Amino acid sequence: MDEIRRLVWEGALNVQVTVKSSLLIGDADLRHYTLNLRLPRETYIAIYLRTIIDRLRNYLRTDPDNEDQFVWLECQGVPVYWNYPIGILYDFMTGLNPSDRQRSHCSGELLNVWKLELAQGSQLPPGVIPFGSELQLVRTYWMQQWKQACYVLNGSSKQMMSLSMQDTQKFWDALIARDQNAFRQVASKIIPAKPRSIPICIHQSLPKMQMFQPIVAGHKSDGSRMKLKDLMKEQFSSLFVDDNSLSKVVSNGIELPLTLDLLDVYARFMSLDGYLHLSLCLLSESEYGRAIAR
Amino acid sequence: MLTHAEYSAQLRRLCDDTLKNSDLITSIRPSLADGEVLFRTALPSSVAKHNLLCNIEFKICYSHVYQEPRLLFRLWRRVPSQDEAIDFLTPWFPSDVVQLLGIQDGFTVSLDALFSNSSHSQETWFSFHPCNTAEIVGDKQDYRDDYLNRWLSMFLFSWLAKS
Repeated sequence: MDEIRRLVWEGALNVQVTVKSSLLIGDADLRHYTLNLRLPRETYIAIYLRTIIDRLRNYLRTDPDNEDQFVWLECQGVPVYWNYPIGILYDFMTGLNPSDRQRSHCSGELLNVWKLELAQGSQLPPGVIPFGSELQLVRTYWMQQWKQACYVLNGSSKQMMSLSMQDTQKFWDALIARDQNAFRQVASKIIPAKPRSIPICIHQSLPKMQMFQPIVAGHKSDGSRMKLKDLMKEQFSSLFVDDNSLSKVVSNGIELPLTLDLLDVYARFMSLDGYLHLSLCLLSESEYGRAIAR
Repeated sequence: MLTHAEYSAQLRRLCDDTLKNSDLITSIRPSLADGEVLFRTALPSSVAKHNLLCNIEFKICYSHVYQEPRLLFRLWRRVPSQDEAIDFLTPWFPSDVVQLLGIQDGFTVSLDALFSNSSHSQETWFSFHPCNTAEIVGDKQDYRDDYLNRWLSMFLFSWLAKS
């Protein structure tokens, strides 16, 4: 289990950030306003936004620190909600189907790069939390997410609220410094051995972007352990019919077998905010054909 | 703590009675099927001197995680345009919102992004965090039928009426 946790924590994405052309000063050269980054999947992109802005500010028409201006990122014109881990944003905003990715690698195609654009304006797109010049807002949001996850896990937020100031600081510092051991040490004070329920976020990009937060117990009423397929059948009965699923469940870029035990999936794939983030992706055409034939 | 069924029943009463009859509420838009109600209030006197703030919009919804009602709000401010001699309206996210509105200590208020049942999209709101709601409101059985009313008195009218 530790090895999977390590791989999840160390997972990373190639991200390319450019600037929307309407925001560029006239003679900017593409090479100068393009940033290529390798970012951990298990973090918030907002943590790096200040660095991105600082590297690109010389090519922007308007001062990004102007208090009447907001800055955000977009993927093909769709705003990127920084309040989810980057990895899950990539998975559901690109509709990532892991088997397609493997095929493209085999055919010798280029590196997977997630292309984002820096956008700026006097009005934020709906649903985007404004990003200030300091990380305090990100930290506050992250703490509230943990408080909520703690409530789902324990039936109370007390385990989170009673963390010492040192532990709370250590928890945040571990996220920033990418120190998995320190992060797990504090997280283990919040996550019980037998959770009351499991904090889960399911992200769906088609037919439209939606997010579901079902309240799911680790065990069914007959005492048996809840499987991933039980959850999916309960929540998305039209997509997961007996053995003919029309969709896949992806976490951290990996397709999860539906037979997995939900508590085990949580223990291995839990994200930086205490939630298990899952992305639904539709089967590819050939996979759909095979599913129908069965 | 309220079940969703109790919340739905009490939300209807809250709209028909408390919100409709309050002098502080200037408009109400219930969306009872979605378990939500939007409303606006007069500006608190404490912020009247802040001449660019022009609207406070509130939303009541239900937190299935905490099984509690949740109070959200957002501010709108005027941005005067010298060129066009008109004002533009824009959402406003001041970092000192608690002090600005005169919200009492004891409430945790922060920016949150929540999925709306009515718009089916993510929306940004300031949110009163609901984790210690039962302790603030009191959840004795005797109060249960009036829980939502008591909750709104504590979470909204306690500071709005004063400020």
